Amino acid sequence: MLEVKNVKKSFGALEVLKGVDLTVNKGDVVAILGPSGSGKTTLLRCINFLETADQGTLIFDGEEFQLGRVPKRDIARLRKKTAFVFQSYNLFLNKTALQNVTEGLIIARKMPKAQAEEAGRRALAKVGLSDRWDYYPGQLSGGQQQRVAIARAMAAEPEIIYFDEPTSALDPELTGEVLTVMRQLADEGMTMLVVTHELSFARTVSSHTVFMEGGVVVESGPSKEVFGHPREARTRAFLQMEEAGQRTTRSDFL
Amino acid sequence: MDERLLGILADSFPKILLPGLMVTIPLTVLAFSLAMAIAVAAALVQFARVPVLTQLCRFYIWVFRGTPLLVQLFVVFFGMPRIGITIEPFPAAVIVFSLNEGAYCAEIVRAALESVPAGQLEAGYCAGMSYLQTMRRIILPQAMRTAFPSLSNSLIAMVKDTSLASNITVTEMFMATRTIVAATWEPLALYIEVGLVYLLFSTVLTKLQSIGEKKLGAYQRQEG
Repeated sequence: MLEVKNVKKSFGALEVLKGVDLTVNKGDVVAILGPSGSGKTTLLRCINFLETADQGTLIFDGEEFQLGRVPKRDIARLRKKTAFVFQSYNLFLNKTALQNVTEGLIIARKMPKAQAEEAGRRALAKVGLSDRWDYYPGQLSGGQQQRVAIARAMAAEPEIIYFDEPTSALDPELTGEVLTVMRQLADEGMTMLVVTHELSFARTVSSHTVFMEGGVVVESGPSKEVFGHPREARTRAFLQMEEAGQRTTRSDFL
Repeated sequence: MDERLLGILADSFPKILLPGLMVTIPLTVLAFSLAMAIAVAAALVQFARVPVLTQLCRFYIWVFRGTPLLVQLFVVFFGMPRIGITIEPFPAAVIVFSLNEGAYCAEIVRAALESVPAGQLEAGYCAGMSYLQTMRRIILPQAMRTAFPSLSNSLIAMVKDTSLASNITVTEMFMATRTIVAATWEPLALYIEVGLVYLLFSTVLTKLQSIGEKKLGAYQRQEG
């Protein structure tokens, strides 16, 4: 469904992505792991055109695009098939929870207001926030804001949802509620590409795991294999270090 | 205070208030509305970094912020007729006040636009919205909320600045007061009286500002 090949991106002299390949099939939940600065967030942003890659190929639903030279019209069309959940939520600050969900449906997808509100209420119910529909982002906790952001993403019925470190900005005690919603979404068969630091999420929820370091994919494969029998020494080292760190800072929510 | 002075103050009050209501306020409302349109347009052009237009906006703001309002009034009203452009006092004042105020307010709106987190625009894109849709529905409303106190401040300053229009023969409040002073020779009492009317106008605007801030600020109220 989604395939990228040889994605390269530099910021000035700093080469952040040095030719990355990635494949996501329909129904896959792919976790991208890696240390800070490995380029995983940049990769996700390039795939959704928030950054312009220097080169690379993107194949979406069989349509091929040359990254860096995709016409605006195609970008707009592709974005309507996808959704993005940000690390810092990025809810529309001047809109209520329900309006955050319906805004894109009404304005971008031209859905009638009543229908959009129905879809919005359904999405908010799914993330357990029916009673907060008229709250503004400033009145919600971080975990609640991220759940609204997930509701906003899924209400658009995208073919894939991109998650950029969705729990990294949250206090440890709030990550559980967000991960629970994500797991539920995965169980329903939603295709997801998730940049994350949550090893337990990657291990137990994602079907595939990609380990990135220094702007390249070091190892990728079914999560069971990557976690159970990592082939690369660098993957092993990363997993051991992260697990030691996370065991001391938070309990497993999943 | 003697009876004669009280009589003058009482007689002059409607003669000051009337031009205030008929000239000062319409001049302010008209010029400020136009200034807002100019300011938002100039700020959006700069925010989007539209080539050529951005430079034109910078030039316009540079000129109107860099020269005295009084000089601008004189150039337009007394100067322009030399090149065949004669403008009536009131429209001349509206033009100059809106251009002058527009230059200041453009900077306020531009700064407010830039204070909106970049993630808001990205979130709009990812929700499938275009640049213009996101600007109109997400970025500009947030920027206007941020700019509101500063813009209100500018509006209050402008009410008082309209007294300068008396210099190009617009018969607004201050001009009316000067006429009465010339006839009665009570400058102290009458200039204080007109000052109090300006104070009244400003107070009403300040009150409106705090009501407006409450209304606009609904989304900024925190829980608890």
